[in-house]
Amino acid sequence: MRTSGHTGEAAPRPAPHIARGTGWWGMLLLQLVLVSMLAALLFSYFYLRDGFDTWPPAPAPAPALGLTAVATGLLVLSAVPVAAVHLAARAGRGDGRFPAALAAALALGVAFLAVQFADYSANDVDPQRDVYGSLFLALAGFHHVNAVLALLGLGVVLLRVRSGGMRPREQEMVVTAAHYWYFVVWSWIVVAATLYLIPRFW
Amino acid sequence: MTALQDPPATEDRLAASWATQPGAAGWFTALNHKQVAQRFLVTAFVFFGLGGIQSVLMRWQLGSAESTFLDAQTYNELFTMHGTTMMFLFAVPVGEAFAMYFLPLMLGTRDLPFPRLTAFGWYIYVLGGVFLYSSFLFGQVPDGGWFAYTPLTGPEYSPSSSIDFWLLGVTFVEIATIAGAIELVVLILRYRAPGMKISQMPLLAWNVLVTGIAVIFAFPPLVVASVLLELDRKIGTHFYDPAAGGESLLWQHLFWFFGHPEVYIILLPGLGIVSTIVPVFARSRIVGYSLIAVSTVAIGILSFGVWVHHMFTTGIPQLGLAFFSVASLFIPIPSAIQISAWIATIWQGRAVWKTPMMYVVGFIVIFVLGGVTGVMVASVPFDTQAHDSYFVVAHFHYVLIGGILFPVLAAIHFWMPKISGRMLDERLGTIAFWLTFIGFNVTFFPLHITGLQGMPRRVYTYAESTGWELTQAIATWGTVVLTLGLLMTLGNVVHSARYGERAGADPWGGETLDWYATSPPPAYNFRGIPEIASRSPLWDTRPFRPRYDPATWQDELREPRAPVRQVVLTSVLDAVPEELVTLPQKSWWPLVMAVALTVALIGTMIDVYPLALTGVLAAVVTGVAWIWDRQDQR
Repeated sequence: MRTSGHTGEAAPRPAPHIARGTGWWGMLLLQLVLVSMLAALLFSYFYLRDGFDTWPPAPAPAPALGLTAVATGLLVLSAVPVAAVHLAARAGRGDGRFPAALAAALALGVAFLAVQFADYSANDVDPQRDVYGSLFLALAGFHHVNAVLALLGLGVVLLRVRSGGMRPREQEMVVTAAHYWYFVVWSWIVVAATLYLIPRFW
Repeated sequence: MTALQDPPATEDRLAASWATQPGAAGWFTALNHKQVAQRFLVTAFVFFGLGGIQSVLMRWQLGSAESTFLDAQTYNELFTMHGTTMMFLFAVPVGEAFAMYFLPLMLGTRDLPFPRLTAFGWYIYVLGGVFLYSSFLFGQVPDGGWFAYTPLTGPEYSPSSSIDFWLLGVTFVEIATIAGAIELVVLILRYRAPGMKISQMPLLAWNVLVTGIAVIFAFPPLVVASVLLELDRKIGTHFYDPAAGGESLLWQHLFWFFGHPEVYIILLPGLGIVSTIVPVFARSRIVGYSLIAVSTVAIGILSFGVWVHHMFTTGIPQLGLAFFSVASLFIPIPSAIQISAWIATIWQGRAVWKTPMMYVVGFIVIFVLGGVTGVMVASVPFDTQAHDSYFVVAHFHYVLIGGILFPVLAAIHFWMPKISGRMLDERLGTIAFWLTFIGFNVTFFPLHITGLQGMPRRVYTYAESTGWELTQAIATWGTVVLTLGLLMTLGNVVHSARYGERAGADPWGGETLDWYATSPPPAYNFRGIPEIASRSPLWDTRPFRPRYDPATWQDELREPRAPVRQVVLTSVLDAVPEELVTLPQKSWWPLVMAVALTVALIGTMIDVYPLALTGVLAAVVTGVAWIWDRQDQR
């Protein structure tokens, strides 16, 4: 057993410990909370959609897919540098390229949000007009709040890794932040499929 | 005590690193689970007192026909606040509070896994509760019932800010509950004493584990529902507005998807307390440990499949009615397994009749009665008759007061000696028990009859010709007796904390590790962390002599090399010791974060959005600081 997990220790912790630490468990349970929220929002979406004959209700057009396809591509791409840093941190490897990889992920995440916001005005999303717009706000808003929080987390990790290298505490932060980012990526695929594809098929 | 518990000859780094800083700064930055859980307990009982006062006022109003003691609006406000207080501000937090105090002791560890989150949870619980109650100051008391049905609570029919107080305040308390649940689940999975396999942990831990997971899935939908309603009210969205494609029934679905598991979230810690107390006073190991654990899990799962039984009269399809009726009829099976196991344990042992045991038996009687009426209302035709009548009021008071208040009273009598180090008065406790038990039944049994006679709930008065006055008057006199009993318990607790007989570490001959620590326990709970090999460690060898291997992890925990708070992490199933980790010692961030969020809440409430934005930004900055800065790891 590893018996010296305390203060100011410089050496990274080996993979089996860091992979399932309390930070990992806390993040897992937080994700279950978020999944439950997402499920409640999806239930609301389909429950309310069921009350309509045509969806989206006039005068809203069926949402165009161009911009959101680009945004989704950027977001999925951002998972690659995050995964690279995550796997290296888990194995306890310090690496000078970490800050660059995290910065790339941050840039892709911000670009995703920028493209999406351009999409909302292009697609004429109006939460106050009818419940279709309200649902758009609820689902996309839920996702974007999480995206912003996760980006802040990645930013903190970036600064920590740049200034202090990869000690046990940074390792745990990387694992936690990376899992939060994975949630942001996969939950967007669910949200985008609901918001952009459901109006075309149902 | 064994060698494992001997203090070191030289400098006592363990006591130093676990000590809370003195003074106000120490109070606000304290993180230790016992300190914070005590605050949770006191706060929960203050809210219980407030909810109790509201119920006494309502009972006084209903004691006679055509009474003018309260007007209709005040009555609406009182029943809303009574229900909200008892469900959100008392019943759920009090169960978590007992778990936060006693589970680390029972599992043989020193603290909860996320100490700063513990403190944060208490701050937002208090601030959320104060926010909700501040509505009295502005004369805008929530009046939409504890389940706040739309469209009554929508912008059209509740234009004042009363419902905003409800939505925002309750959401804060829900976040506190979710935070507590995450802590407790990780605690149970990773912080058990080495050797305490998951099949050997105390049954309370099983109950709290299932409760925690249920909270994690059940509370978020209500947070979502509340945010959507707040959006409807504040920025003009249309989720619950049929005129623009929304649906009022959506609120009911989301609310009861939370609301029914909520009942079991309240009940399960109570069942765990009973499973803890029964073997100690029956002087016998529990019968059917595995069956109780499995039925606890079954209740947790079933609780998510029954929410529509609150909506039988809303006109949903027949197939839905049948499904949810059948699912509801399954619930009695695991409940009956547990009750049978307790009765068998008492039967097998030689019961010692102390106050905690009396409350436990009182619980069994009341809970079975509430369960029987529960089976009745699970049937759709009967429910259609009884819905929204006093029969339902009687049913859920039997289940909730039986399910949580009696176990909590048992827990107070059982564990106060551990918290304060002093015994409660046994004679006073017995008298208080009989007053509470008789008072409760005299209050709530007649309401079944009033309900079957057709009296609807939530009416502020009734005509004399209805014939409801006799049963209602009996209920009011019952409340007087019940209140007397509860006040006597309060007096007993206050008096004993100062003048009670010294308890010693183990006044009851306890079964679990909490009785291995001194009373009251030191901040670090155990100097040496014991290794466990059975379900009843304190009963296997008396006195308890855990194995002690010098020069291993046990030694490092006993005498840390630096002034750090250390705990041992163990594996999920077999509790093999894996790693020593350090925990934060003090922090300002929980308080700052809670205040920042409250500023955001007030800004939203009074429509001053720059203020709300300031609060959100302050919360974000605090969040970064929280992650960045951990005092002991600069």
